[in-house]
Amino acid sequence: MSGTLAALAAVDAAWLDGLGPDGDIVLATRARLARNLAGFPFPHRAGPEALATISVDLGRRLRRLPEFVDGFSVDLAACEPRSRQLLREKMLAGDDLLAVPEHRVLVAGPDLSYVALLNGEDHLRLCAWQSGFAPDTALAAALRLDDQLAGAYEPAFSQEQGFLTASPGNVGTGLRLSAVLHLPGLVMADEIDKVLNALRQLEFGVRGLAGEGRTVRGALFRIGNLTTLGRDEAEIAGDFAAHVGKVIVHERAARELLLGRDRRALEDLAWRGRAALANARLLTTHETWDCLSHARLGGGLGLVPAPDWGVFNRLLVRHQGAHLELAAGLRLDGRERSAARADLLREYFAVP
Amino acid sequence: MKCHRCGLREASVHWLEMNAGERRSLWLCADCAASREQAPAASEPQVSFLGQGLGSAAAACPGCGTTLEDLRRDNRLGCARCYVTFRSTLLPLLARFHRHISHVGKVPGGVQPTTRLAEITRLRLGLTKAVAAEEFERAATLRDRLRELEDQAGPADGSAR
Ligand SMILES: [Zn+2]
Ligand SMILES: [Zn+2]
Repeated sequence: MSGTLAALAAVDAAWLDGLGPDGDIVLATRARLARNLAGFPFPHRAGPEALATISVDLGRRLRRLPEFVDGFSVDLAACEPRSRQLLREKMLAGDDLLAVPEHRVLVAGPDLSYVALLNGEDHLRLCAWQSGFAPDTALAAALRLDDQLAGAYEPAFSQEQGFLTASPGNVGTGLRLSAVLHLPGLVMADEIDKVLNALRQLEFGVRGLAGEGRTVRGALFRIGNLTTLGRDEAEIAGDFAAHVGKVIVHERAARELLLGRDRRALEDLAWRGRAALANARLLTTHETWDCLSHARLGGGLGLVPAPDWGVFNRLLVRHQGAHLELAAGLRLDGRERSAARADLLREYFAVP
Repeated sequence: MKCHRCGLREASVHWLEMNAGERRSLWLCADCAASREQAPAASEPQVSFLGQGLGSAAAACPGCGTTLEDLRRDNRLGCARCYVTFRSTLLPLLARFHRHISHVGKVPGGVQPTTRLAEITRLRLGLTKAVAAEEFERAATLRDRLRELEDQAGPADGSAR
């Protein structure tokens, strides 16, 4: 299993390449479908034999699909905490999913574009990731994956409520679309709360990608639809594209506004961020989220030279603790992590 | 623990508020906590609505044994059958959360699954029905066949890499 994880740690997800639509602002888009098997209680009520049957049979079936061939299969119960942390850093798993991991298996394609989780909150969750802002493509990919499993199992489905899920919050289509956005303009222009609250009114969930509690680090946000019942997949995707699309427009406007208001201050911020990434010998994780954010913003506005978005995206993942430790091949204390992080970032930002 | 307001998402924020000298403690999800910070202080708190108006008549789901009590605690259903068992409790919840109560969208394809997994599914469904109908002989046959199949799980063909 450690070989698997070292290999997994070294893989950069294809959808971090920064080449997708609106890639300067949107890192990636994900479509997730929640499915359950008829006849089996939902995972939290199912016995070990039932869970084992599902993870073995469905896991085998999944690994044979073209999307997953030559990919990864991680038994979460056998994972040490650092490995679970790695999955979280890669955005492949959340906290909820990492608790009570018996018979829980994560299957991922070789470039992490497709991810399936067995025996999480539901028996099966299928995810398709796309680079940039691409809800339609992500949805189509997830539905195609779902189609390929027709005939593999009998889904828990009712005419009235659609695909049945453990939480009534996912019932119906079982579809959750989400995108990871970099919104420093809205944060600095102090418009972020207004925009995010408008989204919440429209039944979207919003949370920071990094940081604790109400502190969001690096101006990175994850936005996803909350309602799954009563509208078909295309309508949910259309709605998502329209409303999250507006956030992108607002972010661009906020950047222009800031530029007009005080160009010098923005230049200063971007150059300082860039300078720290290029020169610092010790970098804490908090500082790095912020420096990457400022340098990225400056790069987007043409204020400072910057690497392409793919480099930023991959570094956002790789500068985190579990990735640094697995790259170093040993345990690191806080100071050693700061040193390893600074070395990693200098590699990409130092001017030769 | 689930959020006391929406009853659906995982609670992450502990909320203490004073109301007419009375202190109340709430656990909220990040989204509800954020919207609450905006809300005027006098706004009516909405406590978990799965817990509202439920009698103490503890009918258990024949499919999984989940009771209303469990539902109130976990805000999670135990099996597909729960959607039928607790239908009258669920409909207002669905209407409130999703603003709809019936499904529109993809339906499973017409392919009849023929895998071992599908066979197990059919046996499990048959078993539940047989038990409910008190056809114990039939239930025993199904249970034997189910054990047989589940024992053939075979090696968990390892990790893909
Ligand atoms: Zn809530
Ligand atoms: Zn049930």
